[in-house]
Amino acid sequence: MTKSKAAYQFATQTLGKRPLFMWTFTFKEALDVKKTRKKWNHLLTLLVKTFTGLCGLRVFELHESHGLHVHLVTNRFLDVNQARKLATQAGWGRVHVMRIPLERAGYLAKYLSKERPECLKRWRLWAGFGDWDWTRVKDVISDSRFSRIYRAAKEAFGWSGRRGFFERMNLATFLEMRTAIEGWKDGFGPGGKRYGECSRFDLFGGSAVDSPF
Amino acid sequence: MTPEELLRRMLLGHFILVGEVRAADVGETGFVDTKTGLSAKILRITYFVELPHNGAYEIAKIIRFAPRGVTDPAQVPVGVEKGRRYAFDLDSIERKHGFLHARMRTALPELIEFGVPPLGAPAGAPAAAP
Repeated sequence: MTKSKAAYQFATQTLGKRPLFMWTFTFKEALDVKKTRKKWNHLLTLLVKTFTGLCGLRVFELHESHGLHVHLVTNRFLDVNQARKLATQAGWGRVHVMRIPLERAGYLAKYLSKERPECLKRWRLWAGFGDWDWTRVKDVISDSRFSRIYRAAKEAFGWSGRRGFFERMNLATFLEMRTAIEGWKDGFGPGGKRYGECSRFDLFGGSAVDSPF
Repeated sequence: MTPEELLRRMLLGHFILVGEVRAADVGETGFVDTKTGLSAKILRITYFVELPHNGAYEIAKIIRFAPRGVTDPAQVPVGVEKGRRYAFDLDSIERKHGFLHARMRTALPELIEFGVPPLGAPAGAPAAAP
């Protein structure tokens, strides 16, 4: 699972406590992705203006034959006839809506697992909209032995910026192996000492590891 | 698994790595939302395996994921004993950050049973215990 997909799933869990509505907006003919995005921005503006307090999540999906279309998860009922009218006004074609149980709100995450097409590079495949505080990718942290060790080393050795990134990764990987083999606690050296309190020999023994400190 | 069986599987196209287990454990890995405290985690078994390399050695990290839905680490068999040599049926392998990282299939590692002392063992060394 990627960080982005995890963030999307956390966001769906905080969207609401009641069943949600999943909307799909498509075009009559396949348009290029930039035009689709422009039309989506137009439609979203119309929707948010018409249905006050509307909030939810949108996911872009690039279909092989139908081009780019948009899936939307909202937490409130919208009049489908009115939504269709707005979609036509913004140049969209077919509109489909269905009610989905809360536990299936993460269903759209499957589109985030697909390999990202070249034309969607640097795009936000999903985003929240409306007045609510959804989980961003920056709010999500990885939790594993490696990440705990990396964070402890970062704090102990005062790592900042991007300089020496690969050397730091080498060092954290080495410490992860040493931690497992020596039975140390994650993020600590021998005898439960913090990395900053350990000598070079404590941490690396006789090994030659490129260390950035 | 005997060396003959190991060779047979390799000839069948299995991607197998053989090494001595230095450490193995079960741990949770995943993501945490710092805003809400929600988490998505899965259990992962990690093996640190020593591989002999022209007189020197290097350590490889091999991971295997527990089946979905299993949340209790006690229910996940590690399937190895420290200090013994096992065959790991791999799914993928890469050299990352100066170390070998591999991912296993779902099958447990299999103990290699040597009838004779392993290649490279000092003269007079006993055969590895079954």
